[in-house]
Amino acid sequence: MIEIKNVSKVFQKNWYALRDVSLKIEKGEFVFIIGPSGAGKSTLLRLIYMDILPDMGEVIVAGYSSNTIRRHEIPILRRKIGVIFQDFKLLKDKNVYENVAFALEVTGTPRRKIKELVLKALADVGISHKRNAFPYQLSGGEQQKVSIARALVREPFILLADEPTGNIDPEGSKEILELLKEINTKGTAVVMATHQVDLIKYFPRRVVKIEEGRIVEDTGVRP
Amino acid sequence: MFVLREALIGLKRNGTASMISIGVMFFSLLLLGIFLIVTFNLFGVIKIAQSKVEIDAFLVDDIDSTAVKELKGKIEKIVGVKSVEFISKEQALKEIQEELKDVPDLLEALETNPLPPSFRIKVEEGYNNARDISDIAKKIGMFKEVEDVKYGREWVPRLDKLVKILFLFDILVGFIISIASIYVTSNTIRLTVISRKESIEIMRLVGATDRMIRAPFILEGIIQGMIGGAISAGTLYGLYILSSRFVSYYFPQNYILAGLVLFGMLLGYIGSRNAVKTYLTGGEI
Repeated sequence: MIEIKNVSKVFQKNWYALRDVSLKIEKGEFVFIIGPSGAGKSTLLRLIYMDILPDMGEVIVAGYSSNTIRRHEIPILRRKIGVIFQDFKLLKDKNVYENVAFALEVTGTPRRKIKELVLKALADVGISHKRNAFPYQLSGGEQQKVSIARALVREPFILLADEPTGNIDPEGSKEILELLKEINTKGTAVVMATHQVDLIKYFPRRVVKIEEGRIVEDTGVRP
Repeated sequence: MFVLREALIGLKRNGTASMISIGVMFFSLLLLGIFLIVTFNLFGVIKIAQSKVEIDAFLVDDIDSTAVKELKGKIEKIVGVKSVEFISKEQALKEIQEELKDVPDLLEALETNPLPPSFRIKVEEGYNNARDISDIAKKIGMFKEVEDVKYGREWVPRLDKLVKILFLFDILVGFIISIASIYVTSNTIRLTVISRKESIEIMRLVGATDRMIRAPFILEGIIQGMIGGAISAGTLYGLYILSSRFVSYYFPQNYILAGLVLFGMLLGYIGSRNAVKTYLTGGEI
């Protein structure tokens, strides 16, 4: 489903964010990408949703290859990939409902369908009761739930989480992790980049460790 | 629907940035409007000058009226001739007297009328350039009753040259104003785009197509351009009303209004398209 083959990404002259990385992620898997900040975790995720393309090697996602994908195909691919971030990336001037609906509106979903899908996504992450609140009225954990709802509303086959708990207190972090687990059990693959190694012990799954742009450890699929 | 709503929200929410964009377009269009008015008037003056171009054909002194009639008919048939007017000896004298009335001494010296009868020939528009006029003059000169042909041999080519230079200069200035307007507008609209960078980022993230991301900005730009154009046309009209008390000039109000509003919309379209380009999918690739 996702195949990264001998990928290198150079950002500035001779500065390798990733160096000869190979990784395969199967359908419905849960993978932690760990490593210190600046190790290349975010770069790896950005390569998967094709925000950047590799300088060497190939990234294949859902049948699209980084070597052959066309510009106008990238949005189509992204509609099947959910992405969440440390800073939630919610629109401050839109309320919870509107933030989630926005993802559907900009891709031309019919109006009738939007309401149904948004309410379902909000219910799935357990934030329905705050649907009229604005981001500033929510805690970090709640904001992240909204951004997860926005990522899920399109029923992606994979959810990429870049330090999703970075701005959330330990209690909230566990809650988010629980949510990601639940999403994963419903069949969506989850790739979570984090430097909070302690989280893994609550939920032992495949761990890929990156250091200075190289994969230094891969535990392989864990049951 | 979504596009229109986002565009209107954008206009309202980024009030200051929108005002700046409209303001910048207003000044650009004002400049363009002034340029258009100057152009219209300049070419109006040139047209008048060109219509003054005429050929004088001096006839033999003893020509009789039948010969005059016949010759007049022949000259009228020459391609490019618009009108032929006969000036008799007496009439020519009268005209001279009229022109020289400040120096009567000069005329008193005249005992007989030395002026020949003549035709005053006007040419059609489109033939009032140096080459065609000299051709027509040559043809007229070939009739045996015509003793001499005169036209502004010196100043007609000069007018010709002036028109060409002015025309090129005018196009150049118009081009520079347009390019500068587009450049300045693009950079101003970029402010609006930057203020909505987050929204664009999210749109890209959730798989909005470039067209969808661009559309609200472009619509917003077009609306701003339209407003800027209308205000600048109104301002120019106001200035015209005020200034027409002191100077009179031609104000092509329909052209100005339509031209500035349309160019404003075009400006908004190109400007917003340029401004948003850097933030589209693949912008970083």
